Amino acid sequence: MLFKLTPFFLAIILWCILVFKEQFYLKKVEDLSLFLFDWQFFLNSFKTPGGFLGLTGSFLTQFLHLPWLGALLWVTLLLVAYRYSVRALRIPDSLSPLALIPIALLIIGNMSLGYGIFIMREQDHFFVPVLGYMVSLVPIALIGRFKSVPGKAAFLTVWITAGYILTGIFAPAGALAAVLARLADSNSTRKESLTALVLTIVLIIMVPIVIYPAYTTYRMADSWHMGLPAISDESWSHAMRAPFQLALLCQILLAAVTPHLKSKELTSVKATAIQSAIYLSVIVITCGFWFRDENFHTELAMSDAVDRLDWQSVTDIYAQASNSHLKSDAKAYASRTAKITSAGSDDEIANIVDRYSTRFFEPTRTMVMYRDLALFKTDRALDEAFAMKDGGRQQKSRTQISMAYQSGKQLYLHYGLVNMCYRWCMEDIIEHGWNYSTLRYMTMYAIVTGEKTLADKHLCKLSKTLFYRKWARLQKGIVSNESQLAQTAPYDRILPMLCYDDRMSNDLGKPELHIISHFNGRQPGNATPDYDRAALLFAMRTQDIPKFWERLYYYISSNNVRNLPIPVQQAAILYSNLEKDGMELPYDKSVKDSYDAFTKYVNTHPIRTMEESMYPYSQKFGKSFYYYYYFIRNLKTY
Amino acid sequence: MRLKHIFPLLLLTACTHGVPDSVQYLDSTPSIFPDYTDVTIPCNIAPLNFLIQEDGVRYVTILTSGSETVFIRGNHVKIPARKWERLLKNGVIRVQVQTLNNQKWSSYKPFTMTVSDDIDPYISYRVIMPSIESYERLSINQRDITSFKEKVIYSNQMVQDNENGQCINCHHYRNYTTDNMQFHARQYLGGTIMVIDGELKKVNLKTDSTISAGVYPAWHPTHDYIAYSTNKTHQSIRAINHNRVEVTDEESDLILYDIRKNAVSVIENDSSQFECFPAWSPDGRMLYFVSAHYDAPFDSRRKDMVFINSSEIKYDLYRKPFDPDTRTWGESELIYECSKEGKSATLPRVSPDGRWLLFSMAPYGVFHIWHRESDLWMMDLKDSSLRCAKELNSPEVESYHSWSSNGKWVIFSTRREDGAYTRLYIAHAEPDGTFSKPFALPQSDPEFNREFLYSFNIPEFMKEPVRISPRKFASFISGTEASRADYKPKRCK
Repeated sequence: MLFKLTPFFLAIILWCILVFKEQFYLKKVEDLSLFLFDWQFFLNSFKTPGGFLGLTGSFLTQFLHLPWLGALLWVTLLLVAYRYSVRALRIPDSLSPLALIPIALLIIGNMSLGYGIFIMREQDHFFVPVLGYMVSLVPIALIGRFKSVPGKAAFLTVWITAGYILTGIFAPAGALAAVLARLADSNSTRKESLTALVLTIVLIIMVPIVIYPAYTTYRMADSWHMGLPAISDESWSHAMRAPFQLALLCQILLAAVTPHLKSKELTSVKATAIQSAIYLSVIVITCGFWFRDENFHTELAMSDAVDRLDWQSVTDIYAQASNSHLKSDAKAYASRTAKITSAGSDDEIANIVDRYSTRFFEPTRTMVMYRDLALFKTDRALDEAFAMKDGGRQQKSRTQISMAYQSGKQLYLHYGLVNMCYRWCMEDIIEHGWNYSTLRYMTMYAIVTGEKTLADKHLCKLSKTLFYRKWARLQKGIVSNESQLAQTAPYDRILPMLCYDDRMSNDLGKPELHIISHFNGRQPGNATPDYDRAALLFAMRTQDIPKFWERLYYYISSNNVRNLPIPVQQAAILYSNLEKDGMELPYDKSVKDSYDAFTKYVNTHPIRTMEESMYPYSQKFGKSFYYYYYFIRNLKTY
Repeated sequence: MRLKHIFPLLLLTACTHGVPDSVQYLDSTPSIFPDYTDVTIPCNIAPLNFLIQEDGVRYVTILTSGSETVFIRGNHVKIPARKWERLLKNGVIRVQVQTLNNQKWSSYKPFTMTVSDDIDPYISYRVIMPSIESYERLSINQRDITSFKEKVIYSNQMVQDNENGQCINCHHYRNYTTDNMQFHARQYLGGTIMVIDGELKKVNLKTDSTISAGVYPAWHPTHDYIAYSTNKTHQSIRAINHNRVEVTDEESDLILYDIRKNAVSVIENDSSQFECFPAWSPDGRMLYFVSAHYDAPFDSRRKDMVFINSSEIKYDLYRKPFDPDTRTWGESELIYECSKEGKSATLPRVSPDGRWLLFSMAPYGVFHIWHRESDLWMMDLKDSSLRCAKELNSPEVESYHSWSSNGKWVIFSTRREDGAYTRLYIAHAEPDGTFSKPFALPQSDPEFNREFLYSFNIPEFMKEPVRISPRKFASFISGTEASRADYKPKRCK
């Protein structure tokens, strides 16, 4: 009895994990998808085989907006698919956990995507595999009802043809499983079953070829992948499809094997042992392939907070991620420093650094950019940006996904680089199709640039969604009442950033570098205090001393600053000492003291290698601009 | 006239709402989308379905032409094809819109649709997102404009894989027929795809002596030549300008491709001039093109410099005599020096009777689809007089345009509806060089242009549909190596 209930317990555990640990992942999957209650959208879905499944998948994906509900739907479907496979494949009770293997593969397929979600070609991928898997079970259950050979042949022909058009490769795969199950079943005649098998194979090969001329949206070679996910990286695409293809293969194998298992009686001890082994393997394998990367999840949470304009949460999430590693980082740093101190050659040091690189917390550039944006929006950037941990950890991903695809439109819009926001919305939809996120950012772009009709066009689409129609109504109000614009978030903080002169630009797909170079460019004639604050922040980020003085001058002038933020004073005192002829400012006593302490420490603890000195210096000066200037260098952006 | 229409109105409404107390006659025409009020339309065009944008709980539209009257209920006015055909037969269609609001019927001032000359039954265009650099989902489609049938001619999705993209552009026909046509496939499995007398051919027009493969084409009307521009083109984003994108040539010349000899020769390659957008006169004895003077050293900074100076690069209109029998060229003649007036002309297209030259003009540059100031202009080739085709223009972009084969119609691309998505408009060309009020290419769903999130560009008229299937194009492009064109020096008189 307990084992019978195990799948339900597992489902509850899965739901809890999804809701409490993967909520931002689910929300991002939803944000990058689209379902419109719209006739044109409906018709467009049928432009490729598998369109009906895609449409259904998109419909269900929208419920991930409320992660608990979306997760509930998905887990329920997985459970139904499991129960349905046990029945359709006629797996004996004692071996019913075998049906969990393809289900686990479906889970792995969705939860191992990681950064791949940003470059998926079609955005209905989350629900399609489980729906497709359920579709593939239908012929297994139905084929037995067709007793005559012509009846079976007609069923297979209709099922494979219509099924392929509506559900892609899932329906034909199910047909193959069905005929194999018949072949393995001693009750059916071998000749009939062989005929059905040959017919099925011929149909699986021929149907995609025959119907191909009716479509113009894919290559013939991709005909047998229809319904499965794809991204703009061929080998990653293969890897992404593998779990789903294996799930279908498992089903086919189970269909072929179960008729033989039926006859075998297992002792309860044996059955318990086998069931335990299956459950354990399924859990271990699922956990093993589940994409777990703290930076990825932190990025998703920050991105969600940026979308909600909850700037305080953005910085809180960053601080939480950073602070949760203080102890383990201290250990890792100490151990690494000790090893580096005793290392002989540069190669050895490089090896140690490499080995330790993943053992302590280091943010990705996307996290840092989100954090700085939030600090900037809450007017804390110059006070706090350099006191927080910095870094440039590479994404844990097969292919590095450009920040432009991941966060480009958000960063560009909020820093006022509006045409770049438009550009990355467009690039995104061309590569990956329309989604809620792009529609929202295209709307905000059009509102900022005063293109009301364009804003209306995108709002009209959003008003046909289930969860964004309220947002669309709100924005429509803003569009029709211009006077509200300058007082409404996020526009109140974007409009002041639009004070710069037009110029040609190309970000080469690297938003961080482009934003830095934008704010380090020519000073606008009518720069606003907001603009000058951002410009000073990015001048400090570049560690370019002349640029710092230039921007500091503009910042002081436009912001009427009396007390400079501490990191700015630290930069000024450091640079003026480095240059000798720099600007003398009325520094706070604490700044003078900290600078004296820093120079003293440098004299007593000379920096032999960055890696060696990083930890002791970070302990003492990690929250100062001095540390940022000397130790945060050569970071790779993407 | 009014009484004549009140009776059916009463009939239509009486069953549910009782007889209206009174009808208010308004002096204004109704607001409809697309704006089809008082337009001149071809006698073989698809129904001009529209949306009534006036407040109301009930709507009745009455279309009358001769003895034919059609009633449509609802604010989505979708006219049945057969009834539309009958309406088209009688010269002028009178449209009256009536709305019920606050239990009161209002009758708007009627507007007309004047039925005129026939139009080529097909057009083709590229369906594209208003994109910057990426080109994942492109197709060249053909539309039967006498109905709403649309088919794909070729889509890049049929060939490209996940890693190797293919751009497609510049579809073009010889004398509006499709057994001689071409388009370019760029990058993956690229080449110029030609249909020569119904046979497919894939050519690489890049030679060691020319700066690129052929780009903007002009098929000679009588001989087997195609004039092309060759361009080294770059794109950049404008940081904050309402013209978001700038497309600029670093170099450009003109070449002539001899189809039979598979050979390319230079037409114009002055290194201090950017020559572009060739177009033949109907007799094939004159090649019109645009050219901008630009002097800058050919060094590593050239590309950046053309962007920095892009607003100073202004194209003038030229023509060059050509003897198609001997393949010899005369001297180029400057026919409109718009740069002196601070303007830049592109896309010259001569009317089929050889009288008119329609081109687009903006303050600078050559790629006017990204210039909101771009308008259409007409030159009378008889006396070189110029006029801005105000009746066609809007505050937004007007750019690519094409004459129908009988010279009675023009189709052009414009972003007038929302500033971002390119839509196609048609206007009747009057004998005096003016145009009727342009109207949006009719769509089955009146709201289509508002809803559709793709642009249409490069509209070209065709007398017949392209008969080669998309699949045949795709398998040909996938399975055929492009044959390299030879280079032959040009001949001058």
